[in-house]
Parts: sequence; structure tokens; C-alpha cells
Amino acid sequence: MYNRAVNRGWKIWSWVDNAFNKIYPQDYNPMYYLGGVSNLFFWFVIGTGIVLFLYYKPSLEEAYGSVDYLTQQVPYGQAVRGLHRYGADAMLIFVVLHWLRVWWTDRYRKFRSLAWISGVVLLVLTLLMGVSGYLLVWDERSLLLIRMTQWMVGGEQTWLGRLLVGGDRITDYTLTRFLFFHLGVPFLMLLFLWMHYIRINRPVVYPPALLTLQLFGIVFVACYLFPTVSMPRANLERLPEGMLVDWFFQWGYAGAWWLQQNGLGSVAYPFVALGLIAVSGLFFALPYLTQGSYLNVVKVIPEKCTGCEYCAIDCHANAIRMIPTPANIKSKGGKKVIAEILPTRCAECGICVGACPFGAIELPMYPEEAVLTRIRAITTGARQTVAVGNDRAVPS
Amino acid sequence: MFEQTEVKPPLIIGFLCEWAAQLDEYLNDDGTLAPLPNVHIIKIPCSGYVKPAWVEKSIQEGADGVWVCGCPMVDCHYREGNIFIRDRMTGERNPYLRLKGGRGGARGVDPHRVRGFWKAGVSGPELIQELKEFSEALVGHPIVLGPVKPVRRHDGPVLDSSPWNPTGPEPELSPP
Repeated sequence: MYNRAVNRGWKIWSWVDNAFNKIYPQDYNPMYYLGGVSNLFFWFVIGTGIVLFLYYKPSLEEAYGSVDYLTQQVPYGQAVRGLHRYGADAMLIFVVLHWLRVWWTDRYRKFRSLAWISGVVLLVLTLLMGVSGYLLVWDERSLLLIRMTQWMVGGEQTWLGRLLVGGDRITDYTLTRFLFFHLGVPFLMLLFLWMHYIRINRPVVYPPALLTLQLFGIVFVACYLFPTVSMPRANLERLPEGMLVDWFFQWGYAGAWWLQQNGLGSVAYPFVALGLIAVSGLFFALPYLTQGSYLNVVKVIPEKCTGCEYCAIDCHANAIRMIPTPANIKSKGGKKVIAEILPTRCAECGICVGACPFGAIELPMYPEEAVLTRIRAITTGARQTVAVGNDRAVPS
Repeated sequence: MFEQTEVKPPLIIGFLCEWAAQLDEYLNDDGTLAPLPNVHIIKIPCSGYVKPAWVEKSIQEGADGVWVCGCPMVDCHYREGNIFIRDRMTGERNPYLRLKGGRGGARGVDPHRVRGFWKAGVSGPELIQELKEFSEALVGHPIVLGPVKPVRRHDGPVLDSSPWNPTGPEPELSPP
């Protein structure tokens, strides 16, 4: 059932690709650069965030005022703030699309499991980074989000709730803490991005310049059409009645709020939090739950290998490395190295077979001899039918 | 009186990536396409698995045309297999396909007989349509025999005579 569902998803993506291929040339199709676009917006958001950081003052008295000053007084402050926000929204959109595409096109298992689990961590970190940004503005939404997060981790006076705001009450140190969190998560993401790329030979981390310009253009238009606004300044004495919801990052809070209003009561918050943790854990384990076999890992024939490194250069999964020729094998070629396969990294795709000019590498399930036999069978079979066809072509 | 004899359909061998266009519902039991019985299909795990030597072998054994179908460019399931085989078929990457007029000199494969298709999963019908065009283009295409002496100059333009531009001029063979 799971396989059928994923296969259905693969058909959906293939259909989407085809629709975009009608508009774009194949190598400019944005659906083929979802990961690269996510990375692009990551750096875009960091760039605009540095500008915002220059003006931000993390204290209860001055935080709201400094954001207001940036928005109203600083030239292009409103624009930079809007770019920071909509850039983050765009990043999340593309991260989610990248995740669904990788999942449904079956690009997450086996040799790609490291990229998948680091990707799940990156997705969670992206959500945390997005939410923590809203806490810094110190308007009513920030206060409500802080309170809701406290309810999610158990309550305002439990140790987790107190850990979150740094004490029994919300103080200046709370905002310092959130600022550190908001700036620290991107650095953590750099570590996981490194893990995300490490097994890929020649990763594509940016889209083509033309797509970059188009996407930036969309974000610029969005930030002028829908200028970002703060809600009224937060008042610690009074819990706000409601808030503007950013549906990209705050759907969890909105859902918990809805559940609380519709019967679950205050249990709704921990329930949603535990649910999200459980779902993340499930996705974390997904490549291991659906692990395939490694029956078709390529094999090197050391006697034929000349150490030309074509296969190691072409392998997209870094699964081939060159080792010094063992003493019991007579080395061909001048380099005195032969290829070695790292089986758990092998994609079983046969790209190295196509790269090898010496036939020194073989897929056990699709050996070269089988292909040649098939070609011979097709051509001899066709010659026989041609002979029959010629008989019939004799005029009647 | 001789009535007009039927044109013999060209024998075409195709290497089809299992992640690219899905043709399973159009396949006969013997691996030929139901709408085009002269097209024989060899399924492979990735288009990058194809060795140019197999393409040459197919032509030498008597096939009239050979095609390779992989995923759309940039979207190879294994990242770069389709780029590699495309570059090998145009002679830009080792090991390369010896094309007549290109790096193969005069004895290479006639570029009009080799073609690449880059199709996503749901575009099976599109692929069949393009295969029909390929098949029609091969009908009556003269078998060009190279000159007896090998050509000395090997730096002929690859792109004009490449399979990616089938409408281009015939590859010019320099005189011996």
C-alpha cells in the first residue's frame, strides 16, 4: 500500500514536471532545482537578517520600538523587513516541495538515507527558525506565541516552560534568549547542510541565474503588495485575544488553538506538540523502515581495471574510491591504482559501467554480456523476419 | 507488372531508462512496442548505463537506428546519467560514441541513426509519437558508406551533424 501511494506521488510529480517543461527549457525547470532554491533563500534570509540585526534591540522596552523605527524611519527598512519575512516563507515553501519531491520520487532510501535524515532535521530547524523570528518583534503575537509554546511544553511554571523564557516571568533575558536561538539555529543548519551534501558528487546548490532573478522578483513584489505589519505592542498584564496567523510557520499553533476551542481544552497544546514530534520521528526513521536490498551493487573486475578514474569521477554518490593495486594483482596502466566500491553507498545505477572503457566494472543483475546477447537476438531475429517479408514482397 | 512493394520498416533498438517515460502498457511480450513493432526496447536502470560501444555494436549488427531515452536533463534519478550519455553521444565525454564526421571520422556511426529522448514518466505517448517520426525519418535513409581511405581531419563540427539536430545538414566528409 505504501509503495502504491509513493508511486501515485511519483506520477503526480512527473505530471507537474511535464507541465513546467512546456513553459521552461528542461534545464531551467524550477521543479528540478527545489533544493537549490531552498538554499538560495536560506542565504537570502541570512543577508536581510544581518541588516535587521543592526537595528534590533533585545529588551522589553525597546524591542517593539526598534522594529518600528526600522520599519518607519530607516530607508527601505520596510522592504528589508518584508524581504526577510517573505524570503523565509518562500524558503519554507521550497523546502517542503523539495521534501515531498524527494520522498515521492523515491530518492530518499539506501545510499541517500544520510541526506534524508539530515533533511528532516533541516526541515524541523527551518520551522523553529521561522517561529522564533516572530517572537522577537514583541507585539501581541509574540506574547501569545510564547505563552502557547509554554503550554505546549507543559505549562508556564513547569521546568521546560521556565527554561523557555529564562525564569518565572518574561524578562529582558527572554528576548536575548530568543535572539540567540533565532541566530543560532542557522549556524546549526550549516552543519546539517554539510551532512546533506557530503555524499553527493557535484551537488547543485543554486538554481540558474535566470530562475534566481525570477524568484527574487516574486518576493520583491510580495513585499510591496503585502507590507509586513506589527500587531499592537505586547502587554504582559493582558493575554491577547487572538493574532494574525502566518500560515506557513504558525499552522501548528493555529491548529492547537482550534482544537482547544473545539473540545480538547488545554490538553490540545501538548497533544499537538507530541504529535509533531512523533511525525518527525517517523520521517526520521522512514529510510530505515523502507530499506531496500543491496543485491545489485556493482563489482570491479580488478584484472581489467587500469586505474583511469573515469568511474570514480562519474559516480554521483561518491561510492567509488581509488586504492593502490593489491600485490596479488598485476596492475594495468601506469597509475598503479584500481577502483574499489563502497557497497552501502552504491546506487546500483550502472553509471560507472557506462563510464568504463575497459569493461572492468559490472552490474551483477544487468551484465554487459546480457545486453550484447539481447542486441544480437534482436538483429538476428529481425533478419529472419526480413527474409520472410521479402518472400511476401514478391509480386503476386 | 510489379505493384509498389511495401517499404521495409527500419529495425530500431532503444535503450529505455526505467525511471524515464513509462512504456509498460505499450510493450509486447517480446519487448517490442505495440504501436511500432519495429522498435525493440532494452530496459536499463539508468540512461548513463549505456555504453557507446553498444550503440555502435547495434548499428554494426544491422539495426537501422538506435535511441536512448533518459529522464529530462538535470532531473536524472541518479543525478547526471543522462548528461553523461548525451555528452558521450555527441563526442564530448569519454568514452565517446564514434560519429561519422565527428570524432569518429569517416568510419563512425551515421549521426542520423542515433537519437536521444529525454522524457519524464508520464510522457510515454509523446515518446511514441517522436519514435514514429524517428522511424519515418529512417525509412529510405541511405546507408552512407565511408570513403575507402580514412579521413585525416577529425575536427569537423560535431554540433551541426549531431543527433540533437537531426534537421541539420549531412556531415561533410573531407576528400581523401
